[in-house]
Amino acid sequence: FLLPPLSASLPVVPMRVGLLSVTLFVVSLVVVASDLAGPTDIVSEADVQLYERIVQESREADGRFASLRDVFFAVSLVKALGGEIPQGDVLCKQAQSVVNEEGETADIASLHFAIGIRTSLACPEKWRSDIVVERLKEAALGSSIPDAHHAMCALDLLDRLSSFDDTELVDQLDAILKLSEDDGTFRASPDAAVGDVSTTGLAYELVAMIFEQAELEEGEALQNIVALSETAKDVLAMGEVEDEDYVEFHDAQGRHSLSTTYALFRGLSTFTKVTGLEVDVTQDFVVRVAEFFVQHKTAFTIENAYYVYQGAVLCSENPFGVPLVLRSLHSVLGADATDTIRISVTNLLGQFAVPVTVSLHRAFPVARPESPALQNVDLVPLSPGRQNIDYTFDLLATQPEPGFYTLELSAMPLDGEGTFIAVESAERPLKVTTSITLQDFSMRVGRGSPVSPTFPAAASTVLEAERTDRILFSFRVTSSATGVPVLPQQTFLRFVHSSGRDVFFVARPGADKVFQLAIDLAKTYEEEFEYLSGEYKVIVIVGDAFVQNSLTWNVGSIRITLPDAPPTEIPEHRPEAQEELVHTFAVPQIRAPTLISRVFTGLTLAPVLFLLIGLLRVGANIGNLPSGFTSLIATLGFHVCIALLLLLLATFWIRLTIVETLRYLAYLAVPTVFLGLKALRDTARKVKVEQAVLCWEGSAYDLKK
Amino acid sequence: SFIGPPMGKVVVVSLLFFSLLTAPAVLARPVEGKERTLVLLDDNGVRRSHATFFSLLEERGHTLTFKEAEDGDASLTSYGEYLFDNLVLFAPTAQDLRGMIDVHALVDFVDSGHNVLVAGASDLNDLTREFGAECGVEFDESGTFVMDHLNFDALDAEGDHTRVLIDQIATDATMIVGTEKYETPVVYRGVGMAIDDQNPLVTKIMWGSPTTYSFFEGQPIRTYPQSAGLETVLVAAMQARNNARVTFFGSLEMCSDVSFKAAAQRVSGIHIDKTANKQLCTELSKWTFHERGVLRHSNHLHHRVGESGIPHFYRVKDNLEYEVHIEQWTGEKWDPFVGQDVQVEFVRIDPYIRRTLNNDGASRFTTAFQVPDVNGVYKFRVDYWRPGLTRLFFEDKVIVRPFRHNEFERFIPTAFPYYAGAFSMMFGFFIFGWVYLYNRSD
Repeated sequence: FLLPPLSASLPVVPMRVGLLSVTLFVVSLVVVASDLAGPTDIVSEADVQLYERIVQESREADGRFASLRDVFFAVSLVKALGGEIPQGDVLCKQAQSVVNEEGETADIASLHFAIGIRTSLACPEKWRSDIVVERLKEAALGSSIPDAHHAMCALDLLDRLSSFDDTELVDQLDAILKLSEDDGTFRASPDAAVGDVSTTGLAYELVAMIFEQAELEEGEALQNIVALSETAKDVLAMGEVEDEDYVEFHDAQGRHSLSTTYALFRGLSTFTKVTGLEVDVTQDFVVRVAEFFVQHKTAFTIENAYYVYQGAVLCSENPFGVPLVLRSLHSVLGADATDTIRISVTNLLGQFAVPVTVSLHRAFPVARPESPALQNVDLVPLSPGRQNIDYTFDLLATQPEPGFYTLELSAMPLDGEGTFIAVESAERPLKVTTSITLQDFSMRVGRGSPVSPTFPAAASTVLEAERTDRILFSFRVTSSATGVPVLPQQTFLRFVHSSGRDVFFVARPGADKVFQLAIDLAKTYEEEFEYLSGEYKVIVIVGDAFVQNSLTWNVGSIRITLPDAPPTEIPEHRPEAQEELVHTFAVPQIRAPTLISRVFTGLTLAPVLFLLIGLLRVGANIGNLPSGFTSLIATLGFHVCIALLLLLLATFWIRLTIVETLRYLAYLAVPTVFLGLKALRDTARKVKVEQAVLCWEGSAYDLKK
Repeated sequence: SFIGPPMGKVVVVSLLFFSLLTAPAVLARPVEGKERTLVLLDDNGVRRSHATFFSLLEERGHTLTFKEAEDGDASLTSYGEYLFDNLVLFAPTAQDLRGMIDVHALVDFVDSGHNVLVAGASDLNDLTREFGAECGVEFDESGTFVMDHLNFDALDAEGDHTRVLIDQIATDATMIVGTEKYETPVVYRGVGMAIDDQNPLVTKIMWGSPTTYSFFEGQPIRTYPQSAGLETVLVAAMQARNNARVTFFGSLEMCSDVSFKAAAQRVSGIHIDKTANKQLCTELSKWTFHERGVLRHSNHLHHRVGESGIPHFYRVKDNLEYEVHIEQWTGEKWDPFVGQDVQVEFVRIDPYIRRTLNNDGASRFTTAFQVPDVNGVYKFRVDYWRPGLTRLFFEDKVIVRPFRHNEFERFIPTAFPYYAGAFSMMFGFFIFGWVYLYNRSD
């Protein structure tokens, strides 16, 4: 949904005499006091600059906009702002291509945009207007309200509105009115299921345009228009009031509040201007709509900027009442300076509206509403002449205390040049500020000598404090200009340890308005100081919203000695890299050096050498080796087996596993046992024989003897 | 619960326990397609006042569903299934929450691995306050404002210095606040917060200057404020152990269109054309909704040096190599993770070895070490937990056996005398046997 700009300011049509016995809306000076305080702000020069910046930033590198729709709203907005859009030829070509190349197929909205751009920029190119005009005429008499609205606006731009005859217009009026619903809304087309507010605004404007063009006689058509004026209140009731401040409307999808609210307000405004019929738009409603636009004035799209600005323009020119905006331009007043309060009364665009009388009913501190500093004063114009918009009064003469104040003001129009909505009672904030200085600063530990540095210097002496000490501070805060004690909200003492850790304490004022602080280290060394000994820098922080020169002051240092902290718990796993862990392997036992081992090995082998040498020396021999073949074989085999067994043990040490060794041992055991039995039996037998021989030889010797 | 009640160490311990139990069940979930995001608002005005923020979310692939908190038709689940992946809780002042979203529903939502972006305000409702408490973030009392009389927006000089300019942003937490430098301050107007420094799940993202404090406007300070100075937390980020993320900021205005476009002025007179609000809000939402700082792992392998297959067991004192692939989600694709501090632990009840893995820049992280000389059942454990990144936690179990009987050292020089004694005895026995059996004495 979109709503194009008014092609021309629609004139207020004088009521046709004898139109109907309806309540007439008489445009005259009507000054009605509103319960509301009026809009709180205006669309300012800064906002206008923001809108211009939005338009500028929305352009692409080649100067074009993303869509024809954007071009249309950008051109319309810049024109409304009184500016000139650069590279108009580029935009003209962008619009021309729609008409010349897509004239037969483009939708009606695009045609309207293109014609609007052409008109605003006075494009010199040739346009194929014949086909386009025929299509627009057809759409203007068609069944779609948005298309009909686009077409009528486009034809108005082309000066072709008068080409319709009255019959066509009356038929179209009937067709439009048939789209109205019981709740006062209009459907976009016969096919649409429900009506919506945005279409309703378009319908009211269409009816106004038809009413203006057609020569309507008394009859059903006029009856319907009068009935339409009476159903507007049902649509107005659909507005959503936000925070009691403003009213807004949404389309069928619950969105586009800016365009919808603007469409409805413009439709009703145009309808009233053209027909002179009263609709149920109260001045309270206008103020709320105006507040809606200023609350949404920070726009971020071209379209929204357009609707806000045009909404502000509409609020400043509508037939229901022009809201006056009463603002406090200088809401910070230095108590010790020569500031002047400026109250301005303007329309929503910040322009002069009407000469007014501005009165101050009360000026009271926010904290003590019952004690006004000033009341019932008429404000003085800041400049002579009727076009003055700024007014002032002297609050400083009452020597107000610094702080926040509320001004209760009113603005009543002096004479009638139109319909203006007076501001009966508006509350505007005012802050009275002051500069401060710190005086009589003193700090000491226990009963020690106080140290009294002077702002902004720091004390050269470093105080010493222990766990059982009390550290005492005192100081005064006074107004620089008057010397009167001031009680700012923030009076902190910040202790900053050399490690960077800091501790805050609050100094509180006593009855004599002297700020004092006593820090009992015995009570604070655990929780606040966390056992952290060392030198602390002491910084005084004084500030408040009404203090012009909030300050921090390094007053000196205190060396605090505290007990050691008790062992802390094992820290929990933190989201950080941990120390690498290296496993410590079991350390092998200490071994003797290899040389010593070899020497001992040699010594261990020495007995074998002794054995061999001894055997040789005593004449050891194997003369008793069996001589028989089988015995010799068995004996040799037996000893070979013994040697193999010993070799097996050596091999087991060098290479074999126990399993392999046992297996080989089993193999060797059989021949060893068999051969061993044979060899040892033969040996034993031989020994017996020899013994028997010896015995026999001995017996023979004895016998011989 | 993964997040649990506030502040208490007992609670934190409980959280850790339960989180560890279920952590593997919920994995990091990067935004790859359409993310379903519920936006819970005080009223539709917030939708308009924060239109830019919401459009930025939509541009990044979020399908937004807007609900007014007081409508009563907002629900996170349907028949036990979660309808949304993320929640934008921009309803700090709604008092009558008739819907099915309460603190328990929010905690369950987070426990299920979903993310929440929470905005506060001075006039804070119980829902936001209690949810913050569940996550370890304590909002200041209702009605208080963060103030700074030396760092306020001088363009708002007529105000009460609650529109403060903040430069203190955790720029080292690049995963959360982005890598782009913050050239200008953030304009903040709202409530202050406090977090427990001992709570490892919550990170302080933005905080006040030494002169910042949080208190009621215009009232004399008789008791110590909830927070003052650098302890005044303005933005806090919580990542539960299941990688669900919750971000709190105490100022709904901070992410509004007005704040995005706002100019400001320092007390010193320096004019600021554009504040950093848009940058911060964008980065916070990206992190919160898992569009950044998401890790994934794959191919965690281990083998003996010189081999390639994963063995059934290791022997004590074996030399082994361990490797894992870790990638990071950049918002568009998975890139190699560039961290240099990923560690692996070789754990048998307690870690015996902890090594930092070498990053080859192509997402492969490796290390090598010798198996301890203590047999048992071990685990390779990677528990990578850094601020702003999703947590990686995975383990591989292996058996470590002792030496076999024939795997010990066989020839010990020190023992040679014993061996020599034995063998000399055998040799002597053999020789003596010959002599004893076959010696002939004449």
